[in-house]
Amino acid sequence: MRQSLLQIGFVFFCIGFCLYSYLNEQNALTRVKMQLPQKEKELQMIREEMRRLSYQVDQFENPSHLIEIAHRPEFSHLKHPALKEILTVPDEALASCSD
Amino acid sequence: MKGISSQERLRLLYLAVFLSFLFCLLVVRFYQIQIVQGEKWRQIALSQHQHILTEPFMRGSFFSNTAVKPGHPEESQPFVLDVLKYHLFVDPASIREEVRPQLALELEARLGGEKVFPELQKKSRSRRIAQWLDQEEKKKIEEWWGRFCLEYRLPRNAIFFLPDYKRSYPFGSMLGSVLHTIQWEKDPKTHQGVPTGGLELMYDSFLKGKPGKRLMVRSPRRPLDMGKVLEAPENGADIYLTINHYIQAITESELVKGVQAVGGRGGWAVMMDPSTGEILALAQTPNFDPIHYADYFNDPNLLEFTKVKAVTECFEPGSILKPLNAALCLKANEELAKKNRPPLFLPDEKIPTSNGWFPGRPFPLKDGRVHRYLNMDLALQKSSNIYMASIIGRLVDTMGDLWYRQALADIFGLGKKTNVELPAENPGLLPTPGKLHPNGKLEWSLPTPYSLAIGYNVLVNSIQIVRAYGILCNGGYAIQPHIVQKIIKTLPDGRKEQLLDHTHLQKGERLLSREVVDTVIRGLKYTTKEGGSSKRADIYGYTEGGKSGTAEKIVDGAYSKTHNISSFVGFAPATHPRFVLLVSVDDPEAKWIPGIGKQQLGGASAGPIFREIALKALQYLGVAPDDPYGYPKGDPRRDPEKADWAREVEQLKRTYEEWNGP
Repeated sequence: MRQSLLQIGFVFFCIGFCLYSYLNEQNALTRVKMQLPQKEKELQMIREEMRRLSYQVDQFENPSHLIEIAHRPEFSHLKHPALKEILTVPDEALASCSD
Repeated sequence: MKGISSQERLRLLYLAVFLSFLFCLLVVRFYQIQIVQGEKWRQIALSQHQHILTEPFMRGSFFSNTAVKPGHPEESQPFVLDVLKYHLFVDPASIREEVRPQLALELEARLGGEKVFPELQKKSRSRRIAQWLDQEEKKKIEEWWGRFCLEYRLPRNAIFFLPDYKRSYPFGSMLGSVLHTIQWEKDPKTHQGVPTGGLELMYDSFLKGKPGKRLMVRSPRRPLDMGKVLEAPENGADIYLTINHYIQAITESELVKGVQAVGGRGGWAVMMDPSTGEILALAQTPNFDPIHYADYFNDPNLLEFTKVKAVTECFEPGSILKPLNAALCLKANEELAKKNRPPLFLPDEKIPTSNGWFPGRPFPLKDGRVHRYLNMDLALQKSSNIYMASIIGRLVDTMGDLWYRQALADIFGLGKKTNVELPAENPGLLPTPGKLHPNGKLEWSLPTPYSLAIGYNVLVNSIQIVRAYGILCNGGYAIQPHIVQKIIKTLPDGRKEQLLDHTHLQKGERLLSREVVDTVIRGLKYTTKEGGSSKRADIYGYTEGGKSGTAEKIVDGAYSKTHNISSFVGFAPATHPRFVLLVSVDDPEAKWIPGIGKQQLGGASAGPIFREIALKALQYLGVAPDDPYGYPKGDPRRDPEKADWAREVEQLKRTYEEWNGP
């Protein structure tokens, strides 16, 4: 009798534990799902911020401004290189070198 | 104890039935509201607590051509893009009367003078009180509002921000007249921008996007900027131009400096790749600033700067038409050769040029100075009117007026639109035999060919000239000048769809033979050297060729001697030119410069601008100097013996002196 009671108790305990784990998992998933819209919004904000910063960098790197400062003595040594002076290495060659 | 009588039982029964009946009515009513009318009441409840907001989209951007250096592409660079900003709204109905003055004061202090109080008095749930605030300004206002609404017990969503995209220009007014902009206020129904002109107008159907939808919940606790996106916005397509931002900056800055230096009223410049027709730069001064577009449209004196003068302004080209006429005469020679007939002329032929009388002209043509004899190279070098009129006279006598007119139209496209992708292109005017002017006079009469020979009696736009010289520079092939390289749309799933592709546009049919164009190009190399009319267009360290032109403007119905449109069109390097560049100066100051001559001439006013733009552009494009000894006097690199074309120039000088004296 006692043994039967123990067995039944053990079964109920296992069922209860599995149910508890399942519900716990579902709660965790729901918590993550609830965070998704906020994360999406944050991602969108970061993208917009990147766009804004990129715009500010472009403003600073305005070619008219660069042409103007190129005349300054501290930048007078800078020249546009001729195409034949530039060596280009294809990506495939770089990849094969690293292998 | 007595039992319940039958009468009392009956009363109880009646009461029970009545109560049951009432209960049934309740159930029926419940069924009616919850089930039958359930959807209706659900919608009413939703509209009270939720509403749909428009989610803004990004209008398509314009991108620079960053692949101008073959094999060395750079990162993509926008000329214009949409940047996220915020409009500040207020809900006056949710703000108590007694708080409004204080709220208005606080907001006005933070918004830099915007009048807020009148908006708070309006009977509305939504009034816009500030536009185009950036992220920092929004954050500061939100921080202040968090404290203010708590202190005065106002609902948090009494003020709210709505995002929107603002057209922004990282390079300021660069390419302003070509791109234009959109008006500050968008269409309230479609949320689309309203273009002011230029490429924004031409390609509006590509640049437009589609707004999305966002579900917002009205709740005092939740601010109105949180919500679920029901429909994602669809951004507009991006347009990749053929214009390079760096070359454009060079062209604009040198044009401004050059026009100011000669006291001009304005000017414009067009640079084109002769092998593809890609326009690499298109500048004008004064320029149109898209950021302050309203100033231009509200001032009649500034309205003209909203147009792209390179396509809308037609002018008599003057001497820059002479090389094209020479090419037609050489082409006529080839056609005569096929019929075993003698040529009209030979390029080396000694042609008398002291007599300027031509049939039908009331006055003789004159050259800058009297030349007794010239050949083609000398005529181009000295820009002789009489020489050109002579060979054109032979042309029309042999081939006929119609052949000449057709050749100018069919080969060089004069009088026809180039179909470059800019609005309001003026095709100009090429007189037609037999046709009448509005005043009843014949367009084409006896002296007309002699006027056309020197670039008068014809109206052209700058793109037509650049195209014509492009044909000379690319070996004689037709090309299509264009500004748009490709249009690409990014779909909501991230895939790219190509809507237009002009990258394959190369040379078309052959219009002139190799021999013809090489002969003309050879002649044009003399003009920028010693003895030429455009020495100031000589690009140090590089070979080049070109032609100046000075057209008298018509003032009060007559040609003016002091008002000109002075131009120089050239190409560099002379062999396999990287670009053709036309510079025009509107009304340079007429004065004499010692050692140079008349400033208002094309070679003196537009030539130096050409040189500066071309030199810097060649350096940027990585073109190695091909005339290592061709530098000005005083430069240690100069070697007059070894400089390019030095021997040829010396030989030509000897020929001139032999024919005309020193």
